[in-house]
Amino acid sequence: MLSEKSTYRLMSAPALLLLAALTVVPILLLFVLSFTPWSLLVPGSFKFSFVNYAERMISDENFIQSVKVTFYFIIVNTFFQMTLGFLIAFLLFRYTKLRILRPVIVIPMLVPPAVVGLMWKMMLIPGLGGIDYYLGFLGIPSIDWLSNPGTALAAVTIASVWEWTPFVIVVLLAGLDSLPKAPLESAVVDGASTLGIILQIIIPLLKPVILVVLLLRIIESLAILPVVFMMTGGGPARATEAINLYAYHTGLEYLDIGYAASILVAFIFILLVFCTPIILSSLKADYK
Amino acid sequence: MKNLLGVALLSLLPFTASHAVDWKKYDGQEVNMICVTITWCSALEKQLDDFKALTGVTVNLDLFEESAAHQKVRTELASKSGAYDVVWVQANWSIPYAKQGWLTPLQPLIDNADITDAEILAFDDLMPSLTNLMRFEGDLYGLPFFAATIITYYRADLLEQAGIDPAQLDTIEGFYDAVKTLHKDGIAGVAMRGHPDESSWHQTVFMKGLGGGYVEDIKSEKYQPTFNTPEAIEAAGMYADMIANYSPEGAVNFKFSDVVVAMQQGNTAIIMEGAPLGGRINDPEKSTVRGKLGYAMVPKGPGGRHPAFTGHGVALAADAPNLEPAWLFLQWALSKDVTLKIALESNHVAVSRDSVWKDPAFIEKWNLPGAGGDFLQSFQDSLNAADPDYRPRISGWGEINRAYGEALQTIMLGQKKAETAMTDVQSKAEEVLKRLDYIE
Repeated sequence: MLSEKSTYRLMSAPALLLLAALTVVPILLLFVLSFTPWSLLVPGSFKFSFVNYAERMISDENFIQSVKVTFYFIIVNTFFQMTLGFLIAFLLFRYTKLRILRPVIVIPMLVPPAVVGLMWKMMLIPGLGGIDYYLGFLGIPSIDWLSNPGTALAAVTIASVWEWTPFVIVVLLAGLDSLPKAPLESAVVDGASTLGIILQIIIPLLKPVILVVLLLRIIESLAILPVVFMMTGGGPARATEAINLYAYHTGLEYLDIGYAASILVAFIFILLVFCTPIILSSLKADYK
Repeated sequence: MKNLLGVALLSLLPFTASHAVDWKKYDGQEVNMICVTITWCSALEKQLDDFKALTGVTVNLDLFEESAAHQKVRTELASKSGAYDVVWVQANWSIPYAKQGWLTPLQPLIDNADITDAEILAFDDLMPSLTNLMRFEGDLYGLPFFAATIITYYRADLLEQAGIDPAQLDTIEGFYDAVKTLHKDGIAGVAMRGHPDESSWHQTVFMKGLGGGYVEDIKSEKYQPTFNTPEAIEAAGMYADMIANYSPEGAVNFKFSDVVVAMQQGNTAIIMEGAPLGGRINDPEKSTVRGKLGYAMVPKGPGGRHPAFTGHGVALAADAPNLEPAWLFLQWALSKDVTLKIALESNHVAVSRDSVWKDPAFIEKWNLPGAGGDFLQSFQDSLNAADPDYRPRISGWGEINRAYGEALQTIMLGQKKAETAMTDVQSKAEEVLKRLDYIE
């Protein structure tokens, strides 16, 4: 007769094995590949070497550029999504009549990312897409958004904020609804300002939820590929090419598999750097 | 309906009447094909029922947009998945694919009289310049269906208003001057491709025309890159200047379809674009410039005249699970009758068969209306003058091409001077060619 603990272990083993086969094994293979200069264009290039890390990556301007773009997406996109999302969620929490808008708000999230990219690309075509027509009322001249490095990056951010802010709203609103009412009510009775309530009561109480949403948004911001792919293809002049898109071009277009693998290892490293502190503090928040 | 059926059956006669090959041998089998959404493949899709009627073989044709098609073909071939028997191959890629052993050599199939109908295949009728693009170390790895080059399309009316003789467009200097003069009053002087993936297709006309080149000497396999020569730098600066200052808004990211639309809409004076796109540019429903265009070969410079050249073909995957029926399909799809039918029913003009170029029905349809020059003549003259090594046909070209296109884009955007940008491409090209063992 197995102990209760062993039974649990035995019964969850198949699922864990499957999970390992689908996650751990590919990542391990990725690490192995990243130590080869394997290119499908060079027969016999599958051999062990440090060349990807020791020589190519450190002198590769395109890689450095893609890291910068990735950091930009993580910081700027996530910042706008979180801030706007929180503010709108708070408005919906505070003025319950506005909740009638909730079904409309989630629509962007339901559109497939590739379609979002295509849609924004079309709307941003100068003289045709309509956005510059409306901006014209504000006296802003027609801009060719996607042909200019600075505006292309901004355009991708706008599309991504449009698509994912609703996710932040929905989750934070659910979090707000589940907050204990007593502290809020007593704060109101004591005459606290709205800002004070947000900063002193709501944010600390909501911290576990905020951390989870933040974590998910950072991961998603890293995985921004479809929107960028459809809107700019990484251009102009690599201004919007994040690491994953660079790895995609390197591996699947130039068939430079080994180097693409090492780029993705760097990608995983960045992901860990950003996510580990959040996971740790979210665990801490849970245990409290 | 009955009449239609009769015509359809009659059109199959030449196949059924031919000898030796048993076209029904693989009845009930399937052939899987992948192609890009190019006019020929899209039009071929409509003919597949005829092939099914002739052989009983079902062809499943998957069509993808160009970069997606490239990647799908490469991944399927590299992984030897057997998912496709027939694959689309852009001519420049037939060499690297063949080198990897990803394609089936065709000569043994051609020599096998049981499955090859020499009359239908009519190999000598396929343009030799194109079939040569599909050869690697003497073996043939594909059959061409598409002959691509570029020509100049100009608005004869606008040139006349500005007092420019179309003959001026025959030299690079004259072309550049005309572009500057014509750029006014809401009309763009020129439209060409600015997107990094596609710009070299046009820019090479200027680079080689001014006396530059990509590598030291491609014919004798000297692959030392030459992006930083004064000629190459001058050409890059000139091209970027035209795109940045004398083109429609957004030209920095123009792909071929944008150039076509720019001309169709009537606010561009000159374009340099694919001759195969002549039909679309003159589309009676979409074009506002049908009848107003003149046609000419691309301009020449001190380094000569260099019309672009490439081909598209279809090849058989190595280890194709349905090799024989797939080979029957290739012969049928590339046959004169099907080629002509597609050329007459669709916008596919870049045919790969000499006999079709001479066919009266073909000439009648494709003698596009013009106000100067002759479309078909310019197209054919360009094909005859074109060099198979217009751009280097080497493994690392995709990566170098992108770096070059991006460098051109940085000049267009004013981020870098031509000299700096070309010096950067030079070192990138050296790095790639060293890595791929082309240079020491």
